[in-house]
Amino acid sequence: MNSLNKFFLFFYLIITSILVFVVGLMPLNILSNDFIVSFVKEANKNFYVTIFAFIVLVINLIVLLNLFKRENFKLGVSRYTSEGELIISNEAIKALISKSLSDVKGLKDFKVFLKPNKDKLSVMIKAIVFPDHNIPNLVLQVQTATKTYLESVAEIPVAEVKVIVDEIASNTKLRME
Amino acid sequence: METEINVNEMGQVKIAPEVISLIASMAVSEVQGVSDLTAGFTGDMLEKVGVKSPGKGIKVQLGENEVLIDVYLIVEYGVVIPELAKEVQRKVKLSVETMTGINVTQVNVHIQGVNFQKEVKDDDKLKK
Repeated sequence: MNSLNKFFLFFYLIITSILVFVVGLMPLNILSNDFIVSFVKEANKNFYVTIFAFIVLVINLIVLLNLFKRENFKLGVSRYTSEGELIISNEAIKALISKSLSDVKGLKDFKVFLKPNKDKLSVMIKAIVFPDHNIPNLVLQVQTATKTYLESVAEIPVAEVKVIVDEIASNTKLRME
Repeated sequence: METEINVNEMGQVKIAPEVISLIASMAVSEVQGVSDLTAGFTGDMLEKVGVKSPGKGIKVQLGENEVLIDVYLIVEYGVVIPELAKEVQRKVKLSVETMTGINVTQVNVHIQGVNFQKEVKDDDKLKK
């Protein structure tokens, strides 16, 4: 979902939240009947209500159409062959990288970010590592595993593998009882 | 929209895109290393409510006497993806061209995900 769609979704959720909140208040008699009747009467005369409703309807349609678009999956690495195009989605590449790193000892958790360049792929891995591991060695293992695996299995040329050690996981957890 | 593949004094032969998707789908399922075809958001929702689409994961764009096919699939863990894609392209092109006589200009393969389940099962067997 790109940022424009996120904005539409945000706008839509705010409007529906306000509407639901107002409808929820109605049976509690917090809003007087007179207020509701006068509001509806005012709305009947006001053309801005129609414009507002039309805008909300358009936003709804945009959000709905984006849900059904297959292009959502299209992001990834593509290459042309004589028979057609081969597109490997970002999700598939991330899954491959996660699998290649599952054998690396010393990694507690990690997140993978991809940035396609002109003809090569840049990978950034944010990792949480266990203590008692030599970090430069661990990083080298992560870089080698990622690059080797992607290049052999998916034949995706990897420009660089950036590893950011975000945190050191603590060995012990203190508990209060 | 149907594509016309033959016109003679006996009449016309038209082939619906659904038929081409089905042929392509069957060809893809024969390739080792393909775990599943993905139907996309709409297809997944329909499948959950019990509507089966035989040509799921296949998008067909028909021209006058040619066709472009997009294949959306999930691969098994461990396969070499470009080799698998090449095999998919070859089989789909061969099947569609042989069965319908329509020229397949391109077969675009979209790898949507990797299935690790088979490998996990193998690991479990080894542990036992």
